[in-house]
Amino acid sequence: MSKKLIELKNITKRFGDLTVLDNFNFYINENEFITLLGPSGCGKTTCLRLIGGFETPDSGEIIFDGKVINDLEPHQRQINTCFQKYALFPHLNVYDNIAFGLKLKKLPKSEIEQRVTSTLKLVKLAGFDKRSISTLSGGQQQRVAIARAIVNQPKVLLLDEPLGALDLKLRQEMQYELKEMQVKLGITFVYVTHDQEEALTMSDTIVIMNEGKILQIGTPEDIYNEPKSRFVANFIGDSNIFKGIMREDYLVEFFEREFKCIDKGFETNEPVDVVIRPEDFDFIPPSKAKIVGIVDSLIFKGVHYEINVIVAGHEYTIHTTKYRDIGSKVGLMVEPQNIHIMHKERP
Amino acid sequence: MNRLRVFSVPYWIWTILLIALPTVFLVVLAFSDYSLYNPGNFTITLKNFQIFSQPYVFTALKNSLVLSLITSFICFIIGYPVAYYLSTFGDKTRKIMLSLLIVPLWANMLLRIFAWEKIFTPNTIFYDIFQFNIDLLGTKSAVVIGMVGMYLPFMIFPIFSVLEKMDKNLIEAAKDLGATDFKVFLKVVFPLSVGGVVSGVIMTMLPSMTSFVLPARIGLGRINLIGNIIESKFMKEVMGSAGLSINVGSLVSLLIMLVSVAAFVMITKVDKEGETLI
Repeated sequence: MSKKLIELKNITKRFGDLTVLDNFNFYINENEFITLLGPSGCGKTTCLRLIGGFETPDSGEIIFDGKVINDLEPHQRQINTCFQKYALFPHLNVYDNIAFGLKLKKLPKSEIEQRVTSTLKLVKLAGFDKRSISTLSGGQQQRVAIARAIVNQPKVLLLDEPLGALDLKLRQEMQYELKEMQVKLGITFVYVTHDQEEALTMSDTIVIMNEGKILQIGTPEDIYNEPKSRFVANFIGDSNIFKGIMREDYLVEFFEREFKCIDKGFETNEPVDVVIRPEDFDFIPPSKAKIVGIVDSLIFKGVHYEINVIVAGHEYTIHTTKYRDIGSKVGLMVEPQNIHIMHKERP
Repeated sequence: MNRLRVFSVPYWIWTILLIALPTVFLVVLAFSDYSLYNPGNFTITLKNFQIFSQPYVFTALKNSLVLSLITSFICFIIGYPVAYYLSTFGDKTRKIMLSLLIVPLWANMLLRIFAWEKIFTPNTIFYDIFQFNIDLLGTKSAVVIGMVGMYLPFMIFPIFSVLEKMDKNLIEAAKDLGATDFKVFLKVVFPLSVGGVVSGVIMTMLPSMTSFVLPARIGLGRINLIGNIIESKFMKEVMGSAGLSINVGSLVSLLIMLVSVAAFVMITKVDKEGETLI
């Protein structure tokens, strides 16, 4: 059981009339890669800024290593931040940017040099010491920003959508590197993003947020496979959502057919949302299928086809490697463990 | 684009008539004994340079340099905090505060000089209101105070415009890396605003170095700057005095012109996008 490093207790934060974080509670373990995931404006950056010390909560407590740190200045916290737009100092070169924090701590010159050099190596920028910031590409600036933060050996690194400005290929590369770095350094990463793929790839834990509230906390697998609400299901990956009725434990009805499932604990005949991932559908001959539809459109996506099927007047998305002609009749099947049942969200 | 070229004609006429031609005149006069009001001889000569051996010219040059440096320095000491303070305001307040700074510039410069003159003269309206005198007329301090009052905004604007555009994340980043507020200023904010400071120094030094009405009025003619020398050289000839004083005046003017051009080259060096020049 790993140790709790940071805990946010009943945090509320308002900007004017707008409540950005509403009675917020969660904790972060030591050496964890945790991602705050949510649409823009959901309060995830504010949450990060509270931990970093750039905002103070209106109520509640931020606890770091057992101590309340609400009123500590950013420079008094063992936490460093990697800013969204890097915020590198344009008047300093790569070396001086990275050495900035160490020089403030008045460390001996030789130690600064040794730490900067090894950090540059870690972020794969060895030999870039004397380069000016303006001559670096976006990806290189990103690495300098990370280096500048981790060279201080913080216990926690906060990352605010650090990959947002990079192109897709570079972004995917950096995802692996960040994860690798986190494991190598053995420190806690708190990562903020609105990109669900980033969150799934890197995180140990994902916190899904919307409108200042936490909707679900869990491992990427948990959240992807067992989304607790329609919002989460929709936000993490594509989803097909059906209206259904829970007949009894392990039995759900939708499309006026009954399906076996693995969920229980609902009231009898409770109206529910049924979520099925596009990749969880299999084609079977229509004669044997409980769900029958007509192929409406087909798009080649590289690894798979994205096929839209119309079932009972509604359009659903299926990801499959099998080809089906547009207009053809198809039968669909879903394994019981791939049928996810969730309580209806109150409007 | 070619069709639009015709609209630049007025600019060219302006430049040629009011800048290029006079400069040519200045060069011709400075390096010859040609008399503008008494045409006759024309010999190219360097004898006008003798002016620089005159003690009163040397004093004026020294005054210009020293007083403008002091003015500029005081403007910096007062102006930087003002600019910094202004840059911390929200958009709306900032606009109001900025216009408050600009409004005095709309009053005629001579009027403002005369106002300072009154302030420094004993027993004027200033005494009637405040019941004390600032008897400084004719001193260097009065000239410097007058020039600071006159040119302070030109220090504030460029510094302000640099600070305003500065990425506020840089300040947070510096704090995050362990800097106290003072260190943030020393290590990040100030180094990044040096361009504005250089512009501000040049924009306050140049006009104070070359001003002549202000030292004449507030300095009571006792404190001569290089501008006063140029003025007197030109005025003498107009009033019918003999000699080549216009030629000498032209030479000194050329010198000032070179200094100004050099200063602007310097501004463009520290500030490539011209962001400090509003």
